[in-house]
Amino acid sequence: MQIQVPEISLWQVLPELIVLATAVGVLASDLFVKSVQRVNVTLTATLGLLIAFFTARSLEASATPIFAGMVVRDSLSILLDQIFLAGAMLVTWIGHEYARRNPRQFPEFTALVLFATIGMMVIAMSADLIPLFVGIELLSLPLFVLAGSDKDRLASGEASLKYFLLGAFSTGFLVYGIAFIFGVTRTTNLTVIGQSLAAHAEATPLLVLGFALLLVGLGFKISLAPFHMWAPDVYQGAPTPATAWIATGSKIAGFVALMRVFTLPDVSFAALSDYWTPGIWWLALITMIIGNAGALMQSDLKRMLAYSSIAHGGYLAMAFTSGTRIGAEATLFYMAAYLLMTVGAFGVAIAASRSGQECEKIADLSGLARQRPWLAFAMSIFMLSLAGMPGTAGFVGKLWLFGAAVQAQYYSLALIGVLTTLLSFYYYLRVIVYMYVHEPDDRLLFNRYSFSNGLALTVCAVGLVGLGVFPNLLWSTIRLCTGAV
Amino acid sequence: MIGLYHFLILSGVLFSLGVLGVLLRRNALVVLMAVELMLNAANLAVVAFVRYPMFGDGGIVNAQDYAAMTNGMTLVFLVMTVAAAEVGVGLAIVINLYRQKKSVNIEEANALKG
Amino acid sequence: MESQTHLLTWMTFFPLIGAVLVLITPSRAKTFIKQLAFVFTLPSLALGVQMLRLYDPAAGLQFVERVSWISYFNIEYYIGADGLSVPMLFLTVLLCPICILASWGINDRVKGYFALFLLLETGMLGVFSALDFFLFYVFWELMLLPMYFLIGIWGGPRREYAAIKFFLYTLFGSVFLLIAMIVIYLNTGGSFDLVALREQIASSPLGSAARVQWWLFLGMYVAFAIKIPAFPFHTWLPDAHVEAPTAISVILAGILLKMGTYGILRIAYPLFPEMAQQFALFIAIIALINIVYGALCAMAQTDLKKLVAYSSISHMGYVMLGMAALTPEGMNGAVLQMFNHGTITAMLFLLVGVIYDRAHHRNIDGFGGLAKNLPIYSGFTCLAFFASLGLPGLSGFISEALVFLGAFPVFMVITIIGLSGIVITAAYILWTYQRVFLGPLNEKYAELPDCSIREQVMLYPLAFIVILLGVFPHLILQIFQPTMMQLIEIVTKG
Repeated sequence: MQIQVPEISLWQVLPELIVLATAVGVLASDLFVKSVQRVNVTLTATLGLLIAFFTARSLEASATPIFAGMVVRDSLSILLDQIFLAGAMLVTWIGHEYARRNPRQFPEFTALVLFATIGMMVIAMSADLIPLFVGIELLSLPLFVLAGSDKDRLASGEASLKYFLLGAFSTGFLVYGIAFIFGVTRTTNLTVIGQSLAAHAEATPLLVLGFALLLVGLGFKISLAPFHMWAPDVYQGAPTPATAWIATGSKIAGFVALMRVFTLPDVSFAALSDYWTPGIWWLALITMIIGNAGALMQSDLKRMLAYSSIAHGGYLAMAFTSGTRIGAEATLFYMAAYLLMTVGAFGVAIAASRSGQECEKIADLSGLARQRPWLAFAMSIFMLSLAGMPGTAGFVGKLWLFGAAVQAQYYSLALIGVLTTLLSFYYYLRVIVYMYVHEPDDRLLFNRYSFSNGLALTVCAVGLVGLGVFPNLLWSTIRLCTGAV
Repeated sequence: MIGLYHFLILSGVLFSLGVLGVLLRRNALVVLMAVELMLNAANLAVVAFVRYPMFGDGGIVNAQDYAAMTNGMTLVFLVMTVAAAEVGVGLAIVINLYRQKKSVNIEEANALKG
Repeated sequence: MESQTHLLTWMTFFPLIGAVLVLITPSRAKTFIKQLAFVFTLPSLALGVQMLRLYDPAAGLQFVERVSWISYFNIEYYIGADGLSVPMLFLTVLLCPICILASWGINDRVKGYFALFLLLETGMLGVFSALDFFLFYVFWELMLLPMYFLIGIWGGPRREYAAIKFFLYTLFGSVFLLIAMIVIYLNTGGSFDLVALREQIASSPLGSAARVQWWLFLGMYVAFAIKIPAFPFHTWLPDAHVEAPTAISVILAGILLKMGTYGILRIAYPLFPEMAQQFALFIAIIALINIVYGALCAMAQTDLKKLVAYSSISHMGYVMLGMAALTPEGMNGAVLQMFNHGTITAMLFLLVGVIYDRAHHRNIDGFGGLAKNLPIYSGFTCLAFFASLGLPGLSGFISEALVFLGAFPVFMVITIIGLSGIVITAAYILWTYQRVFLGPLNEKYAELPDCSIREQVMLYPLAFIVILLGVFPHLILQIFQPTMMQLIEIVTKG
């Protein structure tokens, strides 16, 4: 027997390595520098992420797996890397503002965000169930800690416990599912699994069980109903910048994992779509209804956003069910839009604090328009984009998602999607009503928000309107991705 | 003779115990252990699949079996590592909560409701 | 015919430039913001006049601009004007500067108000000039938003309720429009081109699927009927009108309502001509309900603004009746009525606003004998009221007469019952005029000042048009007549 050393092409994973180095550097700075300046930490992280971003851009896409078939540097992974890196940058910026009021969590906060980002990037490029699993853990563990990083607040500790227990629970399902899939196909490589399933597409009970467990495991991560119950609590309890990254990065990465496993043509389980499509169909349906119905009843801003994020998971799952190329494209586009609008919304929640008091209830936004017109304006864009108002990326994305569902002849699903979207206008508009129509209660003025937060919000708002009016900017890249895989 | 399905049944029992433990027990530390049980049930299944392949004549005889073995073992080792990391983080979280509430009962973690 | 001058684009987006400039002006410079907003509606008006001059009724679609926008979905920036859109575009650019003048009294959050108003103008012009279904939909929704804020922030005491009601009703309708749009798109091999769609639908699987067509037409009808607003979707209108600031009521009644009927004529009729015939009787019955029910409701009102709002419902019924008849007189009457109602109702709402600014209430029974002290105001009101009830010599008469002439041979019974609407209208208008302006002077209002110069500047152009079109209706009839004849041909052939 001979042990073959697989080809190690570190060059191809340079963006990940750069982020890793930045994260370690940020973490270590606390050891060596006496009093770490907040600005320097954020600047370092930004610089690292920017370098990683442009490195990722410059990588050449190739469909050939590397690292012994473990990962693949296709254009999809390159695009997703950029999305994750941009998202991490925005979260770092809005976290910078948060850290000013909670200095004890710095610079660990930034480092943990970066570590989680690496997990997302690993998921994005996995061509095998092992890196997929490792990526999910790399992503989850820092987020568990982030959720509990506000050590003095009871809610934060509870949020992190709930998040951790359910996260670990879902990991159990995930691994058990992988075990069965491995048992039946004798490999964890997605391409090989796909080939062997395509050759004899026969669903043995063990294989179906494997799918189901995998789906449940991932369903927890992306909070599809009925596996969503942790989300509102965690979103509400976790520090807001952490929530922003849990709601966006982690959810997007979960969908990327689903995509890698289930839909990409010629890979993995696409051949057996008859078996898993009905499952996701129902999950999408329930998720859209529960997410929107739940959001209707909330008075807590972060809880409302949590339910809204569940609902958006449902919309993404709907397009995903179609299993078509247009469905994959729609999912990708919506991921980018979703990232911008959700990070933006949480960014406003951070910025709209009054001295010594975080913005928690939707009513806390009352009168924001008078005191901080730009914040209110940006928040309106985020809310309208979440709701799907034409002129924003949310609309284009949703149209595309529904189009994918209609094209795949899931009419009832699309109809439920449209109707729940309609419903969603009510609770998104309520936020705007509070900001613009309600008079501010004169108790306390809103804090000034920092440059970094303003920058993040501006980027999000401009990005949403830009993509809403000129979606071609992103579509050409996305089409390249789905054309390549 | 003891074969694949014996191991799978054992692993299934372990996994179910783990799931029930998570769902029913109220002590955060016990829940943590139950999660470990689930992960190890998966590991047991993978090892059993390597040793007793579902197709073919059993045992590790050719290059394909060998590849499957390395593949499966890699998975097992990584799951073990991850499990350890998870316990590390989990304990930290439980301790943090204990510091605040002087209790590790998850029923008492009820500040968040909506 | 490709336009080299980009007249429509400039006309549509000039207000948007103004909106951006308003936004970057410091909010303290209130008067400057108002002036800026006013100035930026003028180029569009000038271009509107130029459009009227250049428009050649015989030549069909004009001022066309066509650029690929979202190439992947075959979505284009495709705009142009034909006989149907020219009067509507002109009405819009005419009313907008007037409404800015009417908003001069706004002193709270001035910047936001005028920026949103200018955005609204761009949205409205976009709706009337879009020839791409998707573009139409985008503008249609885009317009909703400023409207929502303008009512919700600057409205009366129940503004929040009224704004959200308006928003949800319209949104509810536009979802059906969206569904219809997607179904058509997918069945025609990916086309949003409103001009080419008719033939594309006819040759697609949809062309023979009468059942699907029936549903699609119904969906579009609901979307547009909410905007008109046709019974039973009319309940948002009185609320919205009562709460909205004067200028916004003018826009709402003068332009937004027309978008409903415009949408039916522009999209629903030509795309599904067979369905247009099938639905004709249904639309006529709804029109009748609108006419009679709207008029009866108007009669029961004590709030002057609500009365005008219900009279709008009644008058939009005439438009629907003319449309349903599908005869040359009926169709031309309908479009003429759209334009005339735009000018007359605008006058009425402006006049209500003028008196509300002075007396701070709108209770019809709370006035009395105003004609003595306010001769100019009473004169304008008299003109607007008579135009509204269809006095010969004023513009309302021509369009109503044409509608009834056109509808009579087709729906004899409905038309005869509908004529009673005219009688009721005359009754409530005269009764209202009597209560407000005649009789003994209410001493409380003895000192009210008459119309200011600014208010007269708002009212004179409208009054002029009302009289001019009453005497020379062919001035505007000739613009849209060829287009309407073409449409009738399409529908009756189909």
